[in-house]
Amino acid sequence: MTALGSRRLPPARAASALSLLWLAVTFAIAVGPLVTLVAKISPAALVATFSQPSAVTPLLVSLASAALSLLAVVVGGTALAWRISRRGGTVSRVIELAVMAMLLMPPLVIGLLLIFMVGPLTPIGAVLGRVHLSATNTFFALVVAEVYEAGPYYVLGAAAAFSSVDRALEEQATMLGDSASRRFRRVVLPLAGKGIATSLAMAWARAVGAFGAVIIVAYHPYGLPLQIWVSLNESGLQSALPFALALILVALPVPLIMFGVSRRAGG
Amino acid sequence: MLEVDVTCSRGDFTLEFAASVPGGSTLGVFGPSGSGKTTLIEAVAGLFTPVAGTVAVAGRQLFGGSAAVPVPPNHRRIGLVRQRAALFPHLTVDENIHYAAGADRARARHLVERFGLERLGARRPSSLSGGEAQRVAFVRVLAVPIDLLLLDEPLTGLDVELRGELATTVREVVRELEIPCLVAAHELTELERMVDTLAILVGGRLLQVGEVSGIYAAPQRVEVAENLGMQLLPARESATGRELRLAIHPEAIRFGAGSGMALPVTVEGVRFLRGRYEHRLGYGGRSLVAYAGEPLPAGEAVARLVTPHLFDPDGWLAKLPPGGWQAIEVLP
Repeated sequence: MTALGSRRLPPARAASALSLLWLAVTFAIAVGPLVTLVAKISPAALVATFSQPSAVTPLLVSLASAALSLLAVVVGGTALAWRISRRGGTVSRVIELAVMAMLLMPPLVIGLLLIFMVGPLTPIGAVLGRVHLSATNTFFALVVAEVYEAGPYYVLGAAAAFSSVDRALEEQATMLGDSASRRFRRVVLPLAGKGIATSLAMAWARAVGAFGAVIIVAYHPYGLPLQIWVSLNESGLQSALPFALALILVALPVPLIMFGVSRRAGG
Repeated sequence: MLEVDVTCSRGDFTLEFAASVPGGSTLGVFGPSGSGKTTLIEAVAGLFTPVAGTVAVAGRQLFGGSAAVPVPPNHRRIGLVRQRAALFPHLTVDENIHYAAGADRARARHLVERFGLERLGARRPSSLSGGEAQRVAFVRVLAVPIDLLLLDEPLTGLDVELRGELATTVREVVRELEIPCLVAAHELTELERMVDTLAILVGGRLLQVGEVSGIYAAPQRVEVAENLGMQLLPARESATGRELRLAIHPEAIRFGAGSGMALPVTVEGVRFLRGRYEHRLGYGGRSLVAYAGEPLPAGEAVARLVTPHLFDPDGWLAKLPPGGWQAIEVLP
């Protein structure tokens, strides 16, 4: 038994060494850009950039717009996700396809189409104009663009999370006297929580980093992605790096918190 | 008291069922898969809407009749346990038991004792065995003051010993709480220890209702006899030539001297099974199963059919002709 075992060990060890190497290479490729960023940026440049008050504004704009768009996405998207996961039929499939189309559409195209949909010369634009809102080149426009870029990630992710909840558990909760809302709070949310947290984190990262649609409908005010673009064009690579670091730092906390939450929920 | 009289339709399938179950007693619904048992349970629970009929529990109209709108399932005060325990995986055993807003603490404590779950309170459902999970499911449902207990194959998949024990406990608790209980299963062994009366449901039709022993003694339909495990042989009334079918349960075949209808058979095979000998008997081209405490030698033997039943060509239980069993010819 042991003789046989020790004879088999070396190839197994070689295989595990090989797979370890494979993992290391893949990981290095994956985190390469992040390492480069940290290596290339000088602390002095970072301090110089963010000691100017004008440099802090894009950070605040990004945080505020992403937070608002995420709120809109959760409020509107949760019901859509629930509908997709819980009711069959044509309506649900059409909703799902439409959301999928939004996900697949290049952000730049979304931006173009938004101009035709809510620009100042359109009926919707006219209605918005009456209440002194404009969906182009305003903070509101930025939020709208981010909703379009981030929304589908949340809706499809949340729908998958809802679908993963065993229907027998919901049935049992109903038979135990639960109303639809108590059942949702006490059974569905805790069990779908992990998936919802993940999709929320993805949506946040998408919203903070939204660029394609934003550059077309909301060139002003600058959020971080646009600030990177502008700095790059006006004063070169080096001046864009501090904003790039800021963007990553802003995009990370929510996903990290959600990751922690989901780990606890899963464990 | 449960009073149900419903017609349900699922595609081509139609279920018609009417019965009443007094508080403290258990009605077993027995039938093969696809006979409509689950549809019936769901119709009573409010999870499936019948085409017509009425459902009333504890004097409360839940469907049809004076209930203009069907009472939603969460307001029916009905407990449901299915084959899968469906425990909430994110909650401990204790939290599962006290999940319902209407769960009664004192009642739950008593039930935890009755079902022997005292040591499991802090455990997660994923760490329970199948039997433990099912016991928790029972306690969770019974901890709420319900008016009716519905069970859909509640013991299927559990080992035989546990089934017997759990069946007895459930029956006792149902009596104690004086609630009616409706239990559906496709295996008789699951029902026999649990029920007071049995309803035979085949193809969506209720064929017979009565005490288990009474149904064995006089199955009204040939399908009932088949579902009780009886073996069918073609037969003929010698005097008139009327075609009949004879049904005999394996347990109702004896050997040696005694009463009953004698049938010359060939012993074709013997094997030891659960403490006795199972014999494969040949009669012409037919084969029968019978049991005996001692193995019979292969070859010719005379089997005594102690309580056979006769069915007419339409499948209804037929009377024995005036000439008695001598007037019946079993066809080979």
